[in-house]
Amino acid sequence: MMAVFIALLPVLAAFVVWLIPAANRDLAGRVACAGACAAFLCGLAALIRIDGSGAASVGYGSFSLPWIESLGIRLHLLIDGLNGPLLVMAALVYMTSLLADWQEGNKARLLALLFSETGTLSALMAKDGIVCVLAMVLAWAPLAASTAMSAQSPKTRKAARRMALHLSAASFLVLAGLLLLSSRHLVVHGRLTFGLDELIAVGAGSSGGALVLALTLVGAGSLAALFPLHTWLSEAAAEASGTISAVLCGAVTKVGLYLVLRLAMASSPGALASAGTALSILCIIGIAHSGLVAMSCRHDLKRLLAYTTEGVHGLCLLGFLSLEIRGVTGAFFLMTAHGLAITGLWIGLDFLDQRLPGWKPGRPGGLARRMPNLTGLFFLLTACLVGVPGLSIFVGEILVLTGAFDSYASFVHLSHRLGFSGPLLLTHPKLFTLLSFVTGLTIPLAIILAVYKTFLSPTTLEPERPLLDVKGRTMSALVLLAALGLLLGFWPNWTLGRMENPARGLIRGIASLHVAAVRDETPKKEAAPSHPDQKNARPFRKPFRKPSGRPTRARAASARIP
Amino acid sequence: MNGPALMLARPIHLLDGITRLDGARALLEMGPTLLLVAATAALFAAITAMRSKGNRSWHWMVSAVSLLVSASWLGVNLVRFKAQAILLLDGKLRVDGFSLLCAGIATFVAFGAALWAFTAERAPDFRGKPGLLGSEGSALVMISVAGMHLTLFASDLLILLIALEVAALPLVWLLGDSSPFSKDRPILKSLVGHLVSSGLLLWACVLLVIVTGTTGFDRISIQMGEGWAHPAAGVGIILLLSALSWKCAAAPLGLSGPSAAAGSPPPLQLLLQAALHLVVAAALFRVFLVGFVSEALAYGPGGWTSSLAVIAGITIVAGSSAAMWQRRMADMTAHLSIAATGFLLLGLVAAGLEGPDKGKLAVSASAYLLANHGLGVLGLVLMAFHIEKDQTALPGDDLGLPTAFCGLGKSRPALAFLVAVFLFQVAGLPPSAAFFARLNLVLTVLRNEALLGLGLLMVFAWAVGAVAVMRVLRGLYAVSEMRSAPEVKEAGGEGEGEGPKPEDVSLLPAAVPARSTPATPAIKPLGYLLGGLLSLLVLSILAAAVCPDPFLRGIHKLFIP
Repeated sequence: MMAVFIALLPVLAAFVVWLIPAANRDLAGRVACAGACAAFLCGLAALIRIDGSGAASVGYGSFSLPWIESLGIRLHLLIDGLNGPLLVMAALVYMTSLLADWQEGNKARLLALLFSETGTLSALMAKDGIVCVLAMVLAWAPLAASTAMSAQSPKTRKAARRMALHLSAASFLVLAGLLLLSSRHLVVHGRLTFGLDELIAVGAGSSGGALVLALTLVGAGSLAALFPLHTWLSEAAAEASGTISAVLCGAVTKVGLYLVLRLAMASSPGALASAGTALSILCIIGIAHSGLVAMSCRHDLKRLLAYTTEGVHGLCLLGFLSLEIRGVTGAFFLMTAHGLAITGLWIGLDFLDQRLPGWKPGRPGGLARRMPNLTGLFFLLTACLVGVPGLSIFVGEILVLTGAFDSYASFVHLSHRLGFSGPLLLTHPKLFTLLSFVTGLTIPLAIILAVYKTFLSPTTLEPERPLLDVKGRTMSALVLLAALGLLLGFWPNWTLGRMENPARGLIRGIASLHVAAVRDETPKKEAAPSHPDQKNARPFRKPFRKPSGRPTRARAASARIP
Repeated sequence: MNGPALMLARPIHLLDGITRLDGARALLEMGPTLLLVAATAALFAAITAMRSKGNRSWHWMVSAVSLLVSASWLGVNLVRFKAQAILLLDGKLRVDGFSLLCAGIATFVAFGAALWAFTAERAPDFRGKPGLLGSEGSALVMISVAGMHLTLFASDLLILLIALEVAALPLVWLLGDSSPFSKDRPILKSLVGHLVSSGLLLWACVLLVIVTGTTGFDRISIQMGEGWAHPAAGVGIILLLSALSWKCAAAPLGLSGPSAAAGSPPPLQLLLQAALHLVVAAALFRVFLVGFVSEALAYGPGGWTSSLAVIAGITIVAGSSAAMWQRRMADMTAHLSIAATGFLLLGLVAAGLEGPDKGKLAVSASAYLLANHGLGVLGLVLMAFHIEKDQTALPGDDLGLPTAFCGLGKSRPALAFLVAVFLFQVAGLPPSAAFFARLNLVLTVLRNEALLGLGLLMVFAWAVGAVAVMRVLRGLYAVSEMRSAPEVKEAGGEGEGEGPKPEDVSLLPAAVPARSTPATPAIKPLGYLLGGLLSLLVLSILAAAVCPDPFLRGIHKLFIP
């Protein structure tokens, strides 16, 4: 039942906010914050109750109720070790955004944020495809509407329109993929359902796998702003208000990334084996692209943060594609840590926007003397974001990179496909991973330069001009986010431990489905590992056939997976 | 390829039990349904012939009451007979769940149209009043509705042919009578289209009678059960398909319909877009699922399902993509209706491929979509013209321009919300009842692997329709400031960088000056009638969106006992 509370509390708060007269902003803000805070606390309680196996306690973190039985749609929500940390992170992102937006936010924006929170949290918990798509729409549509309605310039309206177009197309693509999966389930089992577990267990089949992968990956990838589907995010984040940008970069886009793994990759493992290499290269190009663009727009900190999101999400996808335990758990950890850090930075930027309208990095500059609290917190959050060792994102990045470094042997396969002969250095996987790391380094460089210019460069600000430092609710929101950045950096195991077993199960499931797809069989129910060693078996790797006649990866995987 | 395997050479009767009613019993059971509308139509025709001038509002009031009673009686029969078909007049007419549902929706739409006309006639300052529908409008509308009923109940080709003429020609007449002079050309095209399609239908009847020796659908089904008896049968089926798809505004021949209806009074637009096209689409179901359902006729490269699948695909794409570029609300609704017709035709293809038993699922899904779309269009058109009615006229501005909707979200949020609900319903976007109706239909289509591509096309068209609706929503909620921009530009003489660029206001004509919406909408007592109807519609849409399962099950039970 906790899952229902988490999903419904923001809506209830929205209803109360709607009843409060528009003039009473303070009360509306309090109610909105209380709703978001209650959802956060419920999420935290559910996460704490998750045991070592990563599964939610029965009847506590799960909820299932028939909704449209004639179409096989159930209101099925579940909190497990993978979505639990993300859920708590998203609830915290909304809570801190509302906390910082209390006075400035109008009623419409409060309502938009609360509805979007319900959508985001439900999409993360949903175990039914249609509920997931509906929640996905509810996550982004209020934000786009709020941005469009409060737009002061044609540029902002254009950004909101572009966001709405991209994300509505994305939602329909995910829906199309789900319909295909459901129709296949109907053919195989003669029963209509949208339960994600059941759909994934059947898979997309050998013929429709590529189509399902393409539809769901493009749909979920658009929401996650993955390269080359990222263009809407930089515009929307730069033009929308700081709180909406925080929610977009910190929570809503994470839903897309989550669906990439849980829906797109899990449902079409056969197609993934063929397309995995190309997708990995695309990720690396995306990381490099975001780094280069970030350098070019270092005078616009908002755009810079949006491109950072694109780069980090590329890295997360690289971790997913490695299908290695460190890669996958690292990617989830990275998503969580990035969501917290970037929300803090957006709140800081929003605060600066309100105090110094029209500011840019270096103009007026030297804010450290006038706003020491903001400067300290901003630097700490920036350190989190750029991956300073000991802070949250570093843990995720290092896990993803080491996982990917060990995993990508399949680039050799690509070199053979492309017609290269012999071991070519340029197609070596480790070199590619290294390349992504090096190109990704330009992002921290750009951020550090921009933050340095904003706070530490010589100032042009008149000394007599009053400039209030951050305090009160905004301060508490920033302190909370920065403290969590430190906490996750120093004690990551509490979170990683909850993620490990579900991630292992997910990887094993994809591997077994892939083996079934390779054998051109209908997948059967996955059997439990019979040998203790198999629980720690190396994860699945993509198949390729070497010229020397060594056994293929698929055969190796089939030997490992019962 | 599981479609042909399931095919049997027996018709999809939509309902299993069959009751034959003749003479007095038929009149007793179905009298109000069939006769009330026709009797009212005849009465008005007689009155109009005797008195060509005077107050016409009471005509519309009586029409509305008559239509409401008729729609209610259809609903009662739907619940009473459920899984039974009723044959009347020696099988010439056949009343079953599908036809009762479609007739109920069409009659309810006509009721909305009559109610709107009544309200408009009573409003002293309504600007469209002089050219509303002429003195004989109510009589012609009632005749058309009687024709629609007959079309839906027809179980004979000749009756269908006559009924279609009775349903369509009065509306074409009114279209020509009520539209401005500049619209002569499209209306002429529309009239020619109706006549040519009727000619095709007549030729189809002749050829099929030559081959089978009968005009009854059941007997045609028996005669043609084994497949092609004569080459003329193939030509007849093609002509029949072309004629009916033309009449229901399907691609490629029927796409000019919206341009002809543009600018005509709302009752007429409602009857054309939401009633007549849906009635003809429903007639297509009856003709092909009863008369030509056998495997040899339906499936294969030369079968009607292949041709209809192509027509449906083109209709869906053409309707949805054209809706995106429309600048007028009425035109956009008309094109979205064309796309919905394509969806229905695809449902018919799925029903034809699934066979007599499983095909009922597709029929049920199509009927649910048809009902949802009809009610959505009814609400949207009434809402749109209710808003237009309160606006003061501007030079160069005519009915239907979306300028009336710009900024409505801030000036009149309740009305804007209603418009948004109906827009979502017409485009089938979540959270609306039509979303689940479309989902149901897409899932039914996707049951058949042969229709996988078309199923995906439906989803694509769905998304395109969403984009079209989003343009209007943007106008509703996001462009209020735009309207004052030209004034600022004129007064200040600032550079172009200050004002909005024309491409940012694609919903607005470039030269529309700002105007203020009335601060307090003038709700007159008669407006409550329309308001009540609209509220009822919105409530039912919201209820079907929140709890769609009872509605889906209910419609399912009407077809599969």
